[in-house]
Amino acid sequence: MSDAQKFEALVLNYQNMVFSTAMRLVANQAEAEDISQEVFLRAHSHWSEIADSPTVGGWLRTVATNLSLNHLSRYRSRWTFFSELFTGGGEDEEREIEFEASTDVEAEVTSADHRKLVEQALQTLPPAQRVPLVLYHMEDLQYDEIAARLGVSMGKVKTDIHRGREALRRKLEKTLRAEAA
Amino acid sequence: MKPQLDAKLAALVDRQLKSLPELAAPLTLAPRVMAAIAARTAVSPARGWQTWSLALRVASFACLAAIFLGLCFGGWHVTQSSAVTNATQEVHGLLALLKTLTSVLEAVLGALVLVVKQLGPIWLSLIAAVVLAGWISCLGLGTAFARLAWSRR
Repeated sequence: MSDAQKFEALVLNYQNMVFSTAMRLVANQAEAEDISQEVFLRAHSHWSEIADSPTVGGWLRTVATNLSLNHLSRYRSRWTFFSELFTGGGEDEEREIEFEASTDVEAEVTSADHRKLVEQALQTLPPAQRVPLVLYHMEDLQYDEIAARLGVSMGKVKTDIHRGREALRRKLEKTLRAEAA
Repeated sequence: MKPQLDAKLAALVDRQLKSLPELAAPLTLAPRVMAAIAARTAVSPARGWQTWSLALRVASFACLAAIFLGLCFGGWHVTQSSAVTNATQEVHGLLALLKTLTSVLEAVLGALVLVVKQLGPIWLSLIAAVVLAGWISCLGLGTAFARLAWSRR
């Protein structure tokens, strides 16, 4: 198998993972596709180093995350502003969560259709909530790592993740109720 | 604050998000990537010489070496002709003229320095004041004439 064929196989094997990583962070298909292409172009530039590496998947995922965050950083000041404008703006603000029927959601969100709903709900979250939420729950980064990557305080990261979880729960409840009705 | 509910929600969201399957990449992604790589690896003169293929590097090196040798031989051949000898003599003549002019300028400057040294500080200050006054009046008159000209438009 030639190098070109090996590289094409790598693209085909990892394209979904790379695209998902970018898509969940930027929530825009065209931008996620551009980022994915850039990730693979970088992989091609480092082909001699990563071709036989067993951690190539992790390498691609890290590059996809970094490129997505770089892409988002161009708009960060805008979404940080809106995030604080609509939610009171306290950096270390903590708020009580009012559960209405929170645990019912989990029981219902199990099938493939409901996973799609979760995906859609995630995509509709504002970037200020979606990005730290994805980094924490899907990329397994710690609060301090997320704060460093986004250039914000740890208090803000915690608050945004907290708000993101609640917003996700509310969106899912709303969707499920609408479907049931 | 209800920490137990907060933890419950965190666990719920964690399970839900981790259970999400990978999204399907657009069908256009892989062909786009491969096309971009093909375009990148295609030989372009704008890219670095080291990135050219070996055959092209050898050919381009041979061409450059031939051009260099041609220029060397041509240059040597030209220096042997009588026209070049005549031109060299003309240049030597011009250089001699320049040397004469330089020595004249040096003599004039030396005389000026001698005069300045003889004048003394009072005369020098007076001359400097006259030059300064002349410069200021030129500046003032120039400004006045310019304003007059612009105001009449």
